Amino acid sequence: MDLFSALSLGFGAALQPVSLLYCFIGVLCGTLVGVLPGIGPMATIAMLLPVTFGLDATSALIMLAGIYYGAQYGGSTSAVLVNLPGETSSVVTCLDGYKMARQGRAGAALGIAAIGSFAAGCFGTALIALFAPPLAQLAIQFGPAEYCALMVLGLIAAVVMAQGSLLKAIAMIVLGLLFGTAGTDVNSGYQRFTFGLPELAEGVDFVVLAIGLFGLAEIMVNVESKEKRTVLVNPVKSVLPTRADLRQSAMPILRGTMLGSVLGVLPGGGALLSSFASYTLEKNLARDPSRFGNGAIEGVAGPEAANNAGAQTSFIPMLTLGLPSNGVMALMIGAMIMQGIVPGPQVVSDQPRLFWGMIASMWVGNLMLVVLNLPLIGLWVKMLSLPYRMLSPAILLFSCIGVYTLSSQPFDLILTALFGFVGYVFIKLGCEAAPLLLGFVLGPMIEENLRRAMLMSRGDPIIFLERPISLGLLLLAVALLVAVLLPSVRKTREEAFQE
Amino acid sequence: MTKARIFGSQDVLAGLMFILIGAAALALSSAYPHGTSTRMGPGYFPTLLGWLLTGLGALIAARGVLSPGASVPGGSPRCALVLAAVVAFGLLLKPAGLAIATAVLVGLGAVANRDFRAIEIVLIYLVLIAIAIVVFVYGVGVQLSIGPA
Repeated sequence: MDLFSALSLGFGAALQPVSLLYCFIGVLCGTLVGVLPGIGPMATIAMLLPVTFGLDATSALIMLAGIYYGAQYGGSTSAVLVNLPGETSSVVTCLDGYKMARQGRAGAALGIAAIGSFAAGCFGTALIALFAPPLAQLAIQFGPAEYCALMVLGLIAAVVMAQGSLLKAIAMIVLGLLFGTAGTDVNSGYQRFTFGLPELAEGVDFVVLAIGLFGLAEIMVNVESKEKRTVLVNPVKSVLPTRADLRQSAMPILRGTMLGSVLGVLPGGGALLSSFASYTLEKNLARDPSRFGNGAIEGVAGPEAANNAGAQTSFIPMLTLGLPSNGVMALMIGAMIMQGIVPGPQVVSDQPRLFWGMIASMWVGNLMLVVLNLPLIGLWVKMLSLPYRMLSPAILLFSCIGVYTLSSQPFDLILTALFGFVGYVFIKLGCEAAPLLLGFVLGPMIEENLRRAMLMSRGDPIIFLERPISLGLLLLAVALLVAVLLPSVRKTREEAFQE
Repeated sequence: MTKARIFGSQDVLAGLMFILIGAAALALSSAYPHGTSTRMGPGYFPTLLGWLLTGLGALIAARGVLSPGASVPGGSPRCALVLAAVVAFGLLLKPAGLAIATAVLVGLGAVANRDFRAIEIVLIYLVLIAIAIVVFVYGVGVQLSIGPA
């Protein structure tokens, strides 16, 4: 299938009224949770997963994808207006965006953020359309040994690129893999870690785990902390940036888009790393770096473009290899599995309507987001004045109903509460929960491929080193680990995340 | 470097947690058929993970003892109310119906916040129960009775 007919198939699917509706719901929810601090795309997608059971796979994934990239748009609004990052990826936008708002240029900041995001989102989507199919073609020839090595590399890379302690992140992955083995073993029919409970015979439900670890734990930490919000009183006048603003931002948007697109593909990259990297780049390129932090429009344009491009291209490893590069992508893979689709390189050829429909919907969704964000900015500002104490009961209720719809068992809710407690302990102990989710999703696939590879080699693990592709992937994983453990690299890594 | 700092260290406690879970996994999976590397039994992969986790936990704990780093931030018992709300909702939903279960959930969930106002809780409840009924019971079609069964 050539690109043109593939895209027309995609737009055919994405422009269906049903798809348009779910795309709209997705980007609307995304913008909303992006604007609101205290609830992120992870918790929202987990919360809405059960609702997607009733939908067909294409609508479900279109909606869930919309939440993720929609949240990148929304996050910038609260960063500019309230100096609070609605999303972690808009932390950088606070630096200059809020300063611009204090100088009465909130409109220009929001406008340039939306324009930059739109340009980057479109470009990132085009990259998926161009590069995903050939990559999937390559990966489809992988055997079990290569697959195992690829997943190990993906997991290692995801923690190397992410923030925080490396050892703890690897331990969390192993813990996730362990959680993934709970339930009936597919090969022997043996019940593992079920404690004799029939409710656990099919393992821990993905939704229960995700809502507990992300939804509940987040609420628990939030109710403990004191809320501080100062909503900017200056009304936002025009959101149209001036000609000078546009001229100043054009190159940062272009550079941010390129940078974000590349970093987004890397496991663990995605939106957060992209925006940090772009800010640093712009600051270093600027003729007068002291303007940064005092309302430089380039400091908004670059990172906003970068985080959107990164959010978009982080779909590439998920769609082509079945490899989640961050927590949100792990949730998307969970959603696919629940829809009966086996994630992996065959998705592109087996489910062309789903694959191309999703890509086309991203263009449609990005267009919707510009329309949603610019004229309706007043509405989003109003939402910001909603205090968290009114928000948390709503999040709780919708999460609980969502979990209940899984199997109508009170047991699921008790298990969710248990994982909520576990997630809370993780936060207190400084253990990031996202790697656990990656491990949980990949666990069964790794075990199955390991089993097959070992069967092929008659129990000799040398198979992983004999096959050139597998060896290369594993060497790359080792190289990544060694590189991070080198003192000089470790120092820059820590500094990069501190900034 | 005081003892208190070591025992309050995030790394030490996290390491101990991983060791405990790893050891538990090893103990539990020792009961499953292990198989051989050629034909891996159901116990093979969990045992492998159990050893990995225990080892990683020991490394993390050891690092924590050598340089304790950040200590565990204090918590507040208030957050237990959030969990209580979820459990109560689960237990009440079938026998008491959506209206009562939601009231308990919203009540407990709202009280968990630092500052709450009674009148606000009532208003939030009314808005949420209306949304829940319209969206989930009529919209998505979840099988739920609104009143007590």
